Amino acid sequence: MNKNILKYIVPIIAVLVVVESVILIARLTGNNTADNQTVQTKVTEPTANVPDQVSKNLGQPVFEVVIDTPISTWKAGEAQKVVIKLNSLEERALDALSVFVKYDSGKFEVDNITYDVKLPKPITLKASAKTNLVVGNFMVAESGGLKLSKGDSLALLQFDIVPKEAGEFTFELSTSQDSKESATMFVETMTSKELAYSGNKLTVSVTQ
Amino acid sequence: MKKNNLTMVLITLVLVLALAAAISMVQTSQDTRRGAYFAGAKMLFDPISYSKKVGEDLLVPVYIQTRNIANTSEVSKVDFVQVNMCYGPEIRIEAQSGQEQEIKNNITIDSQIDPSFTEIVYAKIDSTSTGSNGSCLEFAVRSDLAKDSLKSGIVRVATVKYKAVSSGTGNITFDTVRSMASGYNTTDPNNIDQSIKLDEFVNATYSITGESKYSRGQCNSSTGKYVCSVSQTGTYESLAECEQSEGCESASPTVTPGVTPGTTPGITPSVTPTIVQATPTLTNDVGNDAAVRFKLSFVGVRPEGECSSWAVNLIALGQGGTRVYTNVPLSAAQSDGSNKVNYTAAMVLDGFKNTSGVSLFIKGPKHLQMKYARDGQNSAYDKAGGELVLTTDINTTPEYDFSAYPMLVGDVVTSGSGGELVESQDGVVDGRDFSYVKTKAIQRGSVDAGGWLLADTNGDCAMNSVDISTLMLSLAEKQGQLY
Repeated sequence: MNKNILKYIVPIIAVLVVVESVILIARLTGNNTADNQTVQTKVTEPTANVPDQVSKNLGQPVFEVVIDTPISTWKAGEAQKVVIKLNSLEERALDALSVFVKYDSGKFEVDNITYDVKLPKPITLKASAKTNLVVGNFMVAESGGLKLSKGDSLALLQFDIVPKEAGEFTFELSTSQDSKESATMFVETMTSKELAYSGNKLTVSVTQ
Repeated sequence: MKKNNLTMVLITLVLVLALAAAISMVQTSQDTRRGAYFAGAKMLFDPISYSKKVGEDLLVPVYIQTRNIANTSEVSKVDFVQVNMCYGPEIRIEAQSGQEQEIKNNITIDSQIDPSFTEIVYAKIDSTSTGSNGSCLEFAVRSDLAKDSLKSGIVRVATVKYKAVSSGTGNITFDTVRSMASGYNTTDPNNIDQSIKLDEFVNATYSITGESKYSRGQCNSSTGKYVCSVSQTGTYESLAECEQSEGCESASPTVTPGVTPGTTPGITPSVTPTIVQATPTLTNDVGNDAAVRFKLSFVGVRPEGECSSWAVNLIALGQGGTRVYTNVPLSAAQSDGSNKVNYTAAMVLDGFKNTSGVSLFIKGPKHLQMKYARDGQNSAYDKAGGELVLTTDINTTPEYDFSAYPMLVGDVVTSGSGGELVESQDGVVDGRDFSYVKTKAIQRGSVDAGGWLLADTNGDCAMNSVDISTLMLSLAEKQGQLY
């Protein structure tokens, strides 16, 4: 009798386990879908590798902005160099070059900001602890603007930076999605239009 | 045989355990995200008691006070709030047609000055839930600001304008179920937990005194009722009497002679009630509205300039009240010998009744919006609020001198949705404005005295290199303030 009961119980429990497993998997999938929908409706952060100017229908990038450093592993307390380069992908002339690089003024000290000799004297050139931005704002007074050929490269900004503590940190351009007033922008001569660019995100690891 | 039984028992035990584990996991999965809040908040009215007379406006500011994100010292930021607030029959939202835009016109989100929210998503009035005892207004606001600009702490959601329509007392209460909020969760890398738990509500009370008197306007064919307004000289004692629909559609509209309540002769209200197309005039009338007189100057404008008769937009702000006035003309005063021109204005601020702690936000047709909040101000006023004190008499209200902090110029163009250049202001002076003015200066051009050239930043009726210099002065000043 006992043996007969066991013969029935085992398959019944096995079926229950299978059913529960199916329910579990179905619910997990459902939750994931709901979460994804939530993320999609939320305003998403700008991703440095996907230039926001493309999303603003400015067309294909005319410039590539590269935030670079010789080594990606830094040591706290030791000065490092960061350079923001502009690589021209087409022949263009510029009236204005406004560069805003986000950094954490609580974690870094920025000093010795310089700019390419081809650029005019900047209206603003500073690291602003108030806004956590390194700012370089250049207006070109020459009537023809600053002419750039395809393949030309400019060191828009270069600065020394001293990390205060260990950790992993990123540097990226401030765009119009971050702030209307602090949007990195390249304005074409004569048309006065913003030109599309792509930008990267520099991630560095700081050790003690 | 015994060995077989033992095996069967073991298998059964294992399966039972598996079943229990599966049930436990199903339960766990239900708890992962649904209903998860990342922070708490309080929704409140401030002030919490109001005393008005029939016919007066009742401005009710709604706030949300966000608290710390769970297990952090960071205060949560808010980007969406839905408010459901119920009130008695003594007050009402003025929306004769009941259309959404008309309801929205009674809700102000202060989107022009340091906005917390940028859009009223929807607004509706539900009279069925409370029946004859009143109505509920439900609206939602959202912010499309960048995450760093979202507000936290005590954040004004909106100010709702009611009209006091009959005497009595009552409460304005939040519906705790239909009111909700969400925000940006900085601690959640996936940004999944967005809900803010509203765990505290502070309601308000009101007391309305005075007799109801209504004036009847035209017949509203969609509602079958007359359009009725509260009036001090009205002919109907009650709203019901005024609104009665019998014969409404066939009767000739009866328009109360005289001034339509809520408007002022010579002033045409624009679409939203808070915007007033003001034609300021000197008047000897002493009313309840505040009056203001001020003096200002523009960067780069010299006495010889003959194309600088620019009207300005003005926002008066003080103690929770905000009014916007457009096309306020300025009178050019004599130069004080310092090679600059001072302009003066004097006006009654229609509908603005605050007389202390006032600040003025003034913006020219090619200028940045400037905040003036102190007499003799000679630099940016970087504090909240203001120090101006006004009176209701245009003859005695003080004349404030802002001329030592000239209005910055250069906000002339922006980008359209496709990146094209648009001759329109965007609140910023940047490289596009510089390039536009530079291009025009190269092309050169001029107009007769009193003419208009967008790129003529110094108002000398010509486009030339001085306009570029004037813009760069403004740009340097503004960037100095910002960074």
